[in-house]
Amino acid sequence: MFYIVFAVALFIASVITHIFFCRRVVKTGLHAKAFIFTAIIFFGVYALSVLALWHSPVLDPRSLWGLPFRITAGLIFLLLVPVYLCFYVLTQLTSPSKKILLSISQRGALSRADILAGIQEEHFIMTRLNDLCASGCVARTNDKHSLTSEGQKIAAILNLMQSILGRNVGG
Amino acid sequence: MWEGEGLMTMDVLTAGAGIFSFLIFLSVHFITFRWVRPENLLRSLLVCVVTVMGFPVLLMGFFYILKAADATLQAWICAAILASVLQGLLCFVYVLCVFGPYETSVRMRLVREIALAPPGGISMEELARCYNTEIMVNLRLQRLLGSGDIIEKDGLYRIGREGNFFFIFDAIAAVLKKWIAQ
Repeated sequence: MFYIVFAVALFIASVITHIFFCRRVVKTGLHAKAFIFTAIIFFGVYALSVLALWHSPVLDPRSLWGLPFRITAGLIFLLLVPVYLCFYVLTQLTSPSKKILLSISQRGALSRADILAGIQEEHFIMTRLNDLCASGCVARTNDKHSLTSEGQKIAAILNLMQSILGRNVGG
Repeated sequence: MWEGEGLMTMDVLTAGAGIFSFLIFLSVHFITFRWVRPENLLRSLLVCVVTVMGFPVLLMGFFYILKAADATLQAWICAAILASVLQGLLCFVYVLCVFGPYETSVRMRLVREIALAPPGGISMEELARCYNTEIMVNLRLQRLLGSGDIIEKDGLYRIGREGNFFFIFDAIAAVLKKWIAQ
């Protein structure tokens, strides 16, 4: 189980490093790329350590501690990266569903009109449309919106997913 | 066979069992979710994930009976648990990073609506006719009612259960936000 503990410990170290980075950096906003970069470095440490310990007599592979779950541990590390990012993104963004639930929770009971009014105040659609323009997926020309080549790639992936999943558009 | 080679096989079997179980989940998901209505989405997803959870353990049990690797019972038990953990993580990442955004993301919906627009583009008014706050709220109320996270009575919506995933995720994010303190 050493490799599992080692991989998880390195992942926790990458999270701590990212938290320290976020606390120190002046620019606000999402620093997801910084975490991905940090995780790559720590995963590299894991990979090099595994190679170094490969035929080392330090760990007895027959003992519980020395069981060589190297690949499994590596995969767990890699999968924990998007798990952390999901929660990290939540620290910066509010989803409409979360807003609805928090509003109802704070007021006890809400009518549909009150819920709608609360969501409209947040301008979810406008802010996300602006984000798409800022990220280069959507081009805005004279109040007309069209997809850039980047946006078209995303649309193609969504169409592929629709053909696989057989589900209509969500939103 | 050098000492530990059997256990190396165990590592490959563990990773393989976890990934294979996730592929089973995906197959079930692709087949059944075509007919799931939006209000039943969250509940169906949870049922699908929980149903396939035990599959890695069954698979590792099968490999144990076949003596696919030379390892102790202790190692096989660890391997079965790790295969379940791996499968669980794969499902979690798929639901939150792939299926979730496809099904619920406002940005993805906007991209799709703009993609369907004529070559000259789509104005804000035309876009609002296809997708607006009311449609967004209706979709979410449908899902939340279907999952039991909210209940509706006499025209008023109330929280259906306190321990729902949104509140749990929000609590974890709140702790993380406190540490980041931006």
